[in-house]
Amino acid sequence: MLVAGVDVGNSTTEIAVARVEPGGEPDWLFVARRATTGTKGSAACAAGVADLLARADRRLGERPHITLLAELHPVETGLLELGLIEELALERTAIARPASETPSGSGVGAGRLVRLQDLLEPAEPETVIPIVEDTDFEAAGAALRDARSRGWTIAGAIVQKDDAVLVGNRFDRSLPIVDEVADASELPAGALAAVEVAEPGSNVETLSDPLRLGVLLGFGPEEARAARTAARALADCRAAIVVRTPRSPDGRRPDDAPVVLVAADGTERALDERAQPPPPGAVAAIRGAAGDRNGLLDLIWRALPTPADDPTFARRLARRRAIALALLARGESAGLVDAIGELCAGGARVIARESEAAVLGASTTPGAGHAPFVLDLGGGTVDLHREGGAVSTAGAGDLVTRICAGLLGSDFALGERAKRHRSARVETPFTLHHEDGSRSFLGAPATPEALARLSVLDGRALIPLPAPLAPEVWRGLRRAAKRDVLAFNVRRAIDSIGGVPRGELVTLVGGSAVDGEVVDVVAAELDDLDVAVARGDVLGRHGPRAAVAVGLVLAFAAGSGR
Amino acid sequence: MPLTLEVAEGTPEALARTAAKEAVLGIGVGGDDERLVLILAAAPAQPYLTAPAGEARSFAQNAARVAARRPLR
Repeated sequence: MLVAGVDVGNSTTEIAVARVEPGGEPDWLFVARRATTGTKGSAACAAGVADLLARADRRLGERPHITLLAELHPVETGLLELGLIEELALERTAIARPASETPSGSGVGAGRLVRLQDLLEPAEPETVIPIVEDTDFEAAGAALRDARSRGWTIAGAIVQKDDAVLVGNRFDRSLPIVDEVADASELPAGALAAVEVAEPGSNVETLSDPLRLGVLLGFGPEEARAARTAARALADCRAAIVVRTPRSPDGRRPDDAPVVLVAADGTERALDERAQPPPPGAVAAIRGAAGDRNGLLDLIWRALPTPADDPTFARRLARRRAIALALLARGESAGLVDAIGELCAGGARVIARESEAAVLGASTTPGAGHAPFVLDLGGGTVDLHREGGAVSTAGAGDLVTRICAGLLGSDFALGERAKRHRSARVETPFTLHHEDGSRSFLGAPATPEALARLSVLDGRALIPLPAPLAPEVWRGLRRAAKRDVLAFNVRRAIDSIGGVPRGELVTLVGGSAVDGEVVDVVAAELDDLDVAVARGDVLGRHGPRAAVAVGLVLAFAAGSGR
Repeated sequence: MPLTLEVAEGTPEALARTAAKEAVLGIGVGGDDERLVLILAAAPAQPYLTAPAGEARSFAQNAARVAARRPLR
């Protein structure tokens, strides 16, 4: 009988097809994978399974008679921004913005914000900071010169586009003019604002000092103390602006803890992003900014890792207060099983837990014999299985991708590529600066889009990334993301079953185990346990992939299906 | 930025190639009423950047970024 084991993961669906005869070893005929269609466990996943079954049919000239599945637990991952620190600190009474690295002039200026077109009116006695939106730099320079000649006192300027130097050259090269303030058009005209530009190679000193900032913007002593985080958000910037905005009508602080955790005993507490997540099974539900979910089996959150060797980027991250969340929920996959059942004459059967199948699949690794401890590092969960006990923890490869995308400011797909591949900075059209500090030369010039950018080295392609990071710094952050999620969950899973005997074999399987960096960080995490950490090689030719799909077929062949 | 402007005859590619060969930074720009072309002296066979003449301002900003090794916009 032709049998298909199918592992529907959060990101990948894998199939292993074998001919199984009573009393004989399975004859392995086909192993393949594709991206999962739909949310894991939903009926939409059947489309991906149907595609894989059709491929098997075409390859083998025969459709599998029965499809074997494991129990499914869907995992949700997401990145949650808890609120900018300066907004919390100032009760939303100020807007603090780092500006571009190409400002004009130097020094500090403070005054009322005024739109460029409003300078056509008769001069007012107060000092002003004009906002230049879409106006051409020639016209903007002329308008500023004209306004000054008619009596306006201009202390600096805020430019929306990348034109500060061009405007400064046509108006006043000594005044601080900041540019690339994307939301310049939304700044409130009439509000008190301060701009600062430091000399090349220096950082702002006045706007990053809460008391001096307070004096410039007319804060009282208490407000000036509260301005400390706004000031901190601007440290390490060469150019910056702070705008004082009206206090919110109700005078309330923004919610400091928008996520509530409900424990298994029904008690509620606010999520503290600085605390460690509870052990698996401790949280039953979640409410608030991350959505409302019941029936949770596990939940973890991780702050974005910060680079010790790039304080500017570290401050930017700290300012965002973002956390990555993963929720493992009780699965409801009857619809999927029914849908897949219609694809084969013999229907579909759920015959094992994912991790039980993973153990059987991992045991086909040459030299492993029986694999007593198997860590399945998938897209959604880290599953640990041993005889008599298994544990699933929320958060694996997809959560690492969320963190990478959050750090880079990219979408999920680009974050996935950045997670998996090395990077380099394109220093010149012909020179790459690699993660280990070495340089290499290109035979043909890099694309203009990649010039001066951190880029993923995916085969021969250079894919530019949006974050202005050195390759060495990004390598550290990428590894930290893998350590903070995968190694962390490996430790949680092992702790929850009471540990692993010294000298024992721990086999890593799953899509995340393909990544050598993941194997490194997991092995480093388990150093103190003195265990042998090895990567699975399913059936001796598929690496750590397809362990569950192969294991399902083995479970069926052994008659252990239930 | 070391910059020399010259008026000459030829296609934008030919002008840019000549300019790149003579430029201190190895970057040449050529243009006519219709097109603008930037060529690198180290890879003269193909233009590195091109743009319609009507987009001269943003093209020039990007040319300056190539010289200064800054990301293009």
